[in-house]
Amino acid sequence: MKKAFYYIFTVWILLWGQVVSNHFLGGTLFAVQWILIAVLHSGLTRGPWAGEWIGFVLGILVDASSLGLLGIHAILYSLAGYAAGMFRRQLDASKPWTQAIFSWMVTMVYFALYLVVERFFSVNEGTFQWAFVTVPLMNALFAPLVFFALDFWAAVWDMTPVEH
Amino acid sequence: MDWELYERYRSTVLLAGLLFVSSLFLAFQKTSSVQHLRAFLVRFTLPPQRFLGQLKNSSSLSSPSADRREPSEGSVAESVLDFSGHFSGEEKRKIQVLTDENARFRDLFQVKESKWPGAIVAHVAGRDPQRWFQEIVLDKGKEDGLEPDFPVLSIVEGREALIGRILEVSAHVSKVMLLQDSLSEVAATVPGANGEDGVVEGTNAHELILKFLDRGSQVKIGDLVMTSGLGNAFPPDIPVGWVEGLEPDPRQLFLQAKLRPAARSNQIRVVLVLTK
Repeated sequence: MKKAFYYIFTVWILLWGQVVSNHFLGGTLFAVQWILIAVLHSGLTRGPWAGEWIGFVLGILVDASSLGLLGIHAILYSLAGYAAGMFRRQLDASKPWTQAIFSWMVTMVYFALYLVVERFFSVNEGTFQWAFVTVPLMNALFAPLVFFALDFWAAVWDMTPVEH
Repeated sequence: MDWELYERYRSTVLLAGLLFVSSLFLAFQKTSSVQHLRAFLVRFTLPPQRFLGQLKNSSSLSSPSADRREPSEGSVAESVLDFSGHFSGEEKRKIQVLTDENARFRDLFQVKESKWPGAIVAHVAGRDPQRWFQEIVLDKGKEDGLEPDFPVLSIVEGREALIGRILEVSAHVSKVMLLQDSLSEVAATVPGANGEDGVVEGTNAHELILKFLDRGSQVKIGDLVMTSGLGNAFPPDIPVGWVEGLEPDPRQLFLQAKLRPAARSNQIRVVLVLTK
């Protein structure tokens, strides 16, 4: 039960955080994808299973909130969670530099895949925007902060993952 | 053995399943079942967006009521301090916010009553950061009377300005294709220059482009561009934007004008949807 509440509250807070962030920074070069960073955190700390689930749930909610293509963020965030989970043995997720560089790389791949998937399923042709360059940098900049906040949040709930 | 295999590769199996489900959603966007799912999910995601959309109103409306409390004896000194500067400045700001908000709504309802009494007022409920200049989401949908292709206006300084048209509707929310979307095309005219007609297209950025002007066009910088009403997609004489620059098109056959939109897409909070 506690676990369920933890995940529900986490998803809800992340969704609110992203909406608030979009309200003030959306459409600018300084937007931050808090949800994507959180999905990477889930994958890196809890493994691919949790990363995929959290990515899928958050992705489908993001799609619904934007009335964009339903499923596009679900695909991309699930992939991000899976990739982060698969790399968790190779990466030391406790190091800020690792968090920043991994977030930067995944966000670059995310944007590339976003354009590809959108081209398949939408009549709109995705076009290059400078945000595709700056947002990964912003994500990298804020990744250590998000990782720290999520670790703290998990500790408050006594839900810090334990490796077996 | 199969179970062990599944345990070993369960993350990959799950990923395949999630990707398959997501692909189904993408492939069957328009089907009623996916639309229903979307409408269900929107109920979870709209509250924060609505809250933020009305944050200014609520904060500015709730604070004055809190400030209207009767001053106690102990707060006399505070009220003296208030007059000395800090709090009165804050009050001034709140009054300014309320005044602006009132003016915006007054303009909106005046235009609605005088020109389009059947129009529907809707709030901007959200927008996708990756399609910032292309789409906005409204908090009204099919059950409120909205249909695809209805024109959407904003009110700027007491005058209407075209911002786009309804692209998709679900039960309680709808998506607007903004003029800035590169797929948007609006038949337009420049009233001051012998009624020259053209087509306004989006650029996926802030500005618009008025295409197909004659090379000897009399259009000049500062001219107002309005809808022409051709094609019946939009009513005539609604401001679209102002000419900011003129240049030959890439094929050198026509002139094209860069337009500053009549309504800044970043400042849209409340819109009028024209019903047909």
